[in-house]
Amino acid sequence: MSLFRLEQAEYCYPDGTRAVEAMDLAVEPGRFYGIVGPNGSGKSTLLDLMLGYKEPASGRVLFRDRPLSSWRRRDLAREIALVPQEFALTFPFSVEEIVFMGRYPHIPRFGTPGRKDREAVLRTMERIGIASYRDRYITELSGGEKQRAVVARALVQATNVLLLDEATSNLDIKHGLQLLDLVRQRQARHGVTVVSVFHDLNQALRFCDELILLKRGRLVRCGPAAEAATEETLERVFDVRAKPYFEPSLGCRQAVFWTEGREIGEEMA
Amino acid sequence: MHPLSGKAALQQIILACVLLCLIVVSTGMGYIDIPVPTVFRALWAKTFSLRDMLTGIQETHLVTIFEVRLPRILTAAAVGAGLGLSGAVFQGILLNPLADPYTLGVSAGAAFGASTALLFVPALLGPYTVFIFAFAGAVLTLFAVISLSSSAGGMSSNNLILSGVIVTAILSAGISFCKYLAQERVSVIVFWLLGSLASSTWLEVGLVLSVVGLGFGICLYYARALNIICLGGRTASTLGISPQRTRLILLVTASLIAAVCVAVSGIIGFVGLLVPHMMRGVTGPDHMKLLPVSLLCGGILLLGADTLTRAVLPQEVPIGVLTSLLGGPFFCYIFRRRQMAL
Repeated sequence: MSLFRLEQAEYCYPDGTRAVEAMDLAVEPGRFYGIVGPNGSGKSTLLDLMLGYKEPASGRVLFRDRPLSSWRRRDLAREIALVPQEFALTFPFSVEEIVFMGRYPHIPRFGTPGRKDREAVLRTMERIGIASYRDRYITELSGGEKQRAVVARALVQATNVLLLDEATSNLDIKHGLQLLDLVRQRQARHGVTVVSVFHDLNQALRFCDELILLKRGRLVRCGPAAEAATEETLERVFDVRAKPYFEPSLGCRQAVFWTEGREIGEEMA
Repeated sequence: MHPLSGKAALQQIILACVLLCLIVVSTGMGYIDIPVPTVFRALWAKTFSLRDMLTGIQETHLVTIFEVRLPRILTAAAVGAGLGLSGAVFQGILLNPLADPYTLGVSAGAAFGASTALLFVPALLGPYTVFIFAFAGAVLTLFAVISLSSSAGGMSSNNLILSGVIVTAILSAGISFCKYLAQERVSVIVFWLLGSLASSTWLEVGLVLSVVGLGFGICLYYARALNIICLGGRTASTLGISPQRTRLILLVTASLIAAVCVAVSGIIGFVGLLVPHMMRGVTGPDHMKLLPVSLLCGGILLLGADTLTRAVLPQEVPIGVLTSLLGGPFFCYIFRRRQMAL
């Protein structure tokens, strides 16, 4: 049984331009998917469709064989969590308060957070290494610290699916890799399904089992990372010259890019 | 998001005690000085229907307490509480610490309604004509602003604020025109706009208290959801909240509270802006804690200001003028201090 299934799903902006066109896609449980494509290819919109935040103009988006729109939001919040790129916070909530918000779907309507919730929050903060600054204001943290609080908020939601929207694009190399390592651990140990929008194709090649390649709202290719990232596909999607190669130190494929008219090594010569 | 910690509960208890004490003390103050123990005894007797305890208290004192002062004092406390609560909710929903209960033009709508009533039909619906017109004006404005902002591509904070500004500008012109038409009778309109709690009645007390009480219940129920909405609509929707629906419910609730307050007391500025600001410094931004203390502190502040103008100052200053006169500089001080802290 596929976890997500898109059947001819389309999404249009209010002004009529199509962000996602007639898309058929199946997401299998327990795997790490990477959505890649150039700017304006519909990556975030596809993620919004899978979140149920946007509704398809036509076609269907099914989650566990039921249309997303028929799910109660609260039930969905116990199944799917989101790590956004960043959130701008006007008010100085503490790190602990932010992480606690992830327990919201588990707290009864008229109830208060119980011991189980508090333990889950504390455990997650410790595992992610933010327990030492749990009382600090989120507004005064650095980008890396803030993003870890955001990840903790999503993990404490205890969902089977984790969606990431360019979660590492505001982080430096080390913090970006740490975050993705953490997510992959979660996938390996708990069987969590991950779907992540990537800005950086090489990060996607390194961490993902499957690639979803988009261009102008259309699905170009979906398949195992090593097979999908061919020279021909990459050039078609990104409109640049590309050369995928096997990187032995990472044990996976990587790719280099250059624009037309300049060959590899020309600069060096 | 935590269960109310001991500290938060303590803050609320202290503020509630201060408010109760202020009500008792304020009742004793005024043209006729009534000793606090007498006030306390009279209030105690009335609250628990103990007729025997009322013997020995002068009849004039009883009339002063229950017919003259208490309606005004309770109205002041309830209006202040309503404005404090409404301001906190508005700042949360609009993610804008400059928002206040009047951001969506509720005050201009009420003022326009009241001006029309005062000018054309001051006694159409009996003694509550102005109140009814003011309230209707506020509610109509609210729905005009909400429909204007939701037609412009989703109910975003900026759309709401901008729609509020536009509608307020149009209504201000309407109010000016009313004043122009009123000619020598303009003073009635001007005095209403300045705000006053004098001549409040028990009916008004009941009305404001019930609306503020009910509104407080609704806002507190959505307080956790409001915290999460501060993370942005997309994240909020992944936590099981419908951001649009929750924001609409809270906007309408907070605006109706503000509408009743304005209809009863006229336009009282700065309470709804200042109180949530001050209190956020005490409790932090968690609305589970912020809303109750904003409610209590608003009541304390407005009752304090009204007692000042009623019983302390040699000449009664309109309450709307007083709150802005005191609130403005104080706001400058807080604003400046926060800039230093950053």
